[in-house]
Amino acid sequence: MAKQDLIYLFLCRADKRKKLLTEIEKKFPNIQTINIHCAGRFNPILAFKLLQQKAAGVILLGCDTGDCHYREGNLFSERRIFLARETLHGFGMDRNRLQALWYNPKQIAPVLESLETFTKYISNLASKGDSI
Amino acid sequence: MISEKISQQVKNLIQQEFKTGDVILSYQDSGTPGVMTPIFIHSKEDIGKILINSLCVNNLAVYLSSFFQSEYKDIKQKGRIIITAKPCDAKSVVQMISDEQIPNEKILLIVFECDGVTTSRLIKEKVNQEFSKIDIKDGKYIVTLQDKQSQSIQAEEVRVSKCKDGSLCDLPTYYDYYFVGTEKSSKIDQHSKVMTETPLLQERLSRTEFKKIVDTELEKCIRCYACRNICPACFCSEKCIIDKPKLAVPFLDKEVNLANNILFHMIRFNHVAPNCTECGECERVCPQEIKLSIFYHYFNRLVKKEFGFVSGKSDLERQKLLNYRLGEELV
Amino acid sequence: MEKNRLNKKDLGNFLTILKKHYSNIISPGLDDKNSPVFRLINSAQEIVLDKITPIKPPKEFLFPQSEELMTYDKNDSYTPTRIVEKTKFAIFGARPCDIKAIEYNNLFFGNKFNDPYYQSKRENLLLIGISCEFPSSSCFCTTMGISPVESSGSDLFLTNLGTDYLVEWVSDIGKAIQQFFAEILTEAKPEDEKMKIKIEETTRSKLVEEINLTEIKGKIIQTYDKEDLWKNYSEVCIACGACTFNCPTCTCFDVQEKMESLENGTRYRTWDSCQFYDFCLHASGHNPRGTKMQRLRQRILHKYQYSIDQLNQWSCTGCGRCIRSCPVGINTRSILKDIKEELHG
Repeated sequence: MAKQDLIYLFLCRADKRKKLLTEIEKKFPNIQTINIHCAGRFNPILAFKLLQQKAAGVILLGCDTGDCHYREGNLFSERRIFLARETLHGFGMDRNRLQALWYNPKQIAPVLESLETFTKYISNLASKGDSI
Repeated sequence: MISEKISQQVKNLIQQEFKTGDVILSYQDSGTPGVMTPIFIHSKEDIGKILINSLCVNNLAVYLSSFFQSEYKDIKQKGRIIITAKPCDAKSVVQMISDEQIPNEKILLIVFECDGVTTSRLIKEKVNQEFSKIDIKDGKYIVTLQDKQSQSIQAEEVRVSKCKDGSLCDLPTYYDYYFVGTEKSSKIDQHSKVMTETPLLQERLSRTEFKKIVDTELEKCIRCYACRNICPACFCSEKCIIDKPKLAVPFLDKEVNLANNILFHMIRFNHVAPNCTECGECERVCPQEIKLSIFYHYFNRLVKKEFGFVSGKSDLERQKLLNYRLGEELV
Repeated sequence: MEKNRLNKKDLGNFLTILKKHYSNIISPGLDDKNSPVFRLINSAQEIVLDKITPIKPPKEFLFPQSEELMTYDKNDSYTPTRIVEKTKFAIFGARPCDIKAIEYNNLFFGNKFNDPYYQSKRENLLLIGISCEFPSSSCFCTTMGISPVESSGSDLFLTNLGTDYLVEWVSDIGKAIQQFFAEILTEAKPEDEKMKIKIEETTRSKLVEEINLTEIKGKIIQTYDKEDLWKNYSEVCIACGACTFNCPTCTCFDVQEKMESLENGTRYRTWDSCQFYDFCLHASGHNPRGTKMQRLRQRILHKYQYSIDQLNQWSCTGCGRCIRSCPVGINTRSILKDIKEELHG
C-alpha cells in the first residue's frame, strides 16, 4: 500500500474489542491495527517514525476516563499525545495526522464514525498532493 | 560585564567552603584566545586557576547528572559539588533538582550576576580577522589582531542573541549564594522581550513555507550529537534510544539523510520539551550552525501557555508530564 | 622540478582549460553566512583564498559521510555496488595541512587492505595546492613539521607572489598536464624562491604558538598510565565527536545494514567516532573503552604515537579544526604541552 493511504491504529483491550476489529477489517482495508495492553504504553516517537517513513496517519484508541483497566494509563497518554501533536506542528507537519480517540470497548458505532472522518481527511490530503 | 570583583569574591567564598572530597565546577582559560573552558577542581591548590568573566558561556549543569548515575562507575563522589553558574545556568540546575535527577543536599549553587556573555565566533565576525589575544577592561573587549594592532569593542555589540532578552535571566527561587554588582556600562534591558515576544516562524509563515526552512536547515545536520550531549535536560546519557546498540533493529538508522535527521530532532525535542530552559547551548555548539532556536522557542512558549509551567523556576514543582494525578485537569 | 609563473588575471583561463580535462572543480567559496566552505564552483569569481581554511575538510569528496557498499536480495545473494566513479575532479586551493592529510589517508586506505571505494575516487583526483597566508588562531602546522608553503604531496602547487602565482609541477600527473596550459604560462624567475621563504616567515609569525616535539616523538606512549593528565581533559569532554568529524585524517567508519523489506536491503558505511560510547562495545556487553578518559587517551595516542608505529608518519597535520570545533574549548596544543612537561619535567 502506498505511503499516502496507509493508516496505523493502536488500540488497547483488543480482547474486548473483537467485534470492532472485524468491522474495521471489512470496512477500512487501509487501516493496520496493532494491539497494546494500555494506551499509556504508547510512545509518541513510534508515531514520528511511522509518519516519516511509512504511514499517512496514526490513531490511538483508548478507554474513556475512569474506565482504564490500569487506572491512570489513558490519562498520562492524553498529555503526551497533545505534546506529540504540537511537535508535529512545530516541525511543519500537519498535526491532525496523529489523533487520539477515547471510547470504551462497548462503543462501536462512534468509533467507526470517527475512523470514517479520519480516513476521509487523509485521502483528501493525498488527493491535494500534500505529503507532509 | 562580569567584573573582576565578582570573580574574586566567588573564589574567596570557595576557599572558605571547600572541604576535602568536594569537587568544584568552574571556568579557566583554555589557551585558545577568546575561549574559556570548564575545569573540575579536586584540591585546594588549584582554586587559583579559576577565572570568571564575560567569555564564560558554557552551561556547567550538563556535568551534574553523571555524578549520580550508576553507569559512571569511575566517578565516586563523596563530598559535595560546588558549582558556579550564571542565572540562566542556575535554572538548568534547579530544573534537574525538580526532576529528581540530582539531590539538592549535595549541590552548593553559587550564582553570580551576569550582564551578557559573548563567544569568540561573534568577536571574529565583528573584527573580520583572526586575533591572538583578548583583554577585558572598563566594559570593553580589547582585541589584539594578527597584525599586532588592537581594536576595542563595546560589550553590547557582540552579545549572544539570548542575552538581548532580559526575561530569560530571571533568577530561580532556589540557590545558595548570589553575588551582585556588575559594572554599569552595559546593563541588559530587563524590560526588553525581543526573544520571548517576537512572533514565531511557525505562526508567521504558512506550513509549506515553514517546512522548506526546516528542510534547508536540517539538511546540513551531520548527526554528530553535540547538541544532545551538551544539553543539561538530556540526562538519559548512555541509555539514549538513538544509541541503543543492543536492539536487534536500530530505532533510527545511522545513515545521514534528511528524513533521518528530521526524525532525530523530532525525537529529541519531544523528549526534552518540558524541561528545556532555553539556555541556547545546543545552537551554540552546532558545528554546522543550524538555527535550533526556531524549535526550542516554540516548545517553551507552548509549555508555558498550555501547561502553565515555567521550567527552572522552583525546585519543588514537578513538570506537568510527570505529576498527573486522578482528578486533575488534563491540559 | 618544473616551474612557471601564472598571472592572476589568467586564472579564469586556467580554470577553463582545467575544466576540459577535470569536469568538476572544488574550491573554497563562501556560504550564505560568509564562512568559507569547500564546494563545486563554476567560475573563478567564486574562489575565496584570503580567509582561514574552511572548517569542513575536503575529505568528504574522497570519503563521503554515507556510502552504499552493496545490496542484498533473498533470491540473488550479495551484489557489490558497482563503482562507477568515472568523473574526474580537481580540488583547487587545498593548503599544505590538507594535502598532507590526503597523503596520510592514501597510505591508510592502501595499507593492508586496498579500499576500492576510496581508491576509485582518488585515481580521478587532481590536487592543486596553494600557499597558506591566513592561519587561524588554532593552527599549529609548524609544530607537526609542515611548512605553510611546502608542495610535496600535491600534483601542482601555487604560491602567491603578488601579481603572479608561482606554479610548481610536482607529481607525474602534474607534469603530464603542463603542456595544456603552455599558452598562459610564463617563465619563473630566480628570485621566486626567496619570495617563498619570505611568505613562510610571515605566516609563521602569525601563529599563536609553536611547540618543539622532536624530543618526545615516539615516546608519548610513556604517558599511558598517567591517568591524572588525561582526566584533566576528559572530565570536561562531552564525547560528542565533533573533533573527529572535522578532522581530515579521522577515517573510522561503521558498517550497517538497512532493511528495505523482509526480502532485500542495502549495506552501507557511515562515519563513526572513537569518542562515542558504543564504538568499542563488544557483543558480550564488555566495553574496553567505557570511560571518557580511555577514549580521549586513545585518540591522542593514535594521532601522535600509533600512527608513527604503523605508518611512520604523524597522523595530525596541525590544521587546528579540532580546537575550533570543540564545544567546551579543549585545546590539543595544551595536551601536547602537558605531555611534554610530564616526560621532561
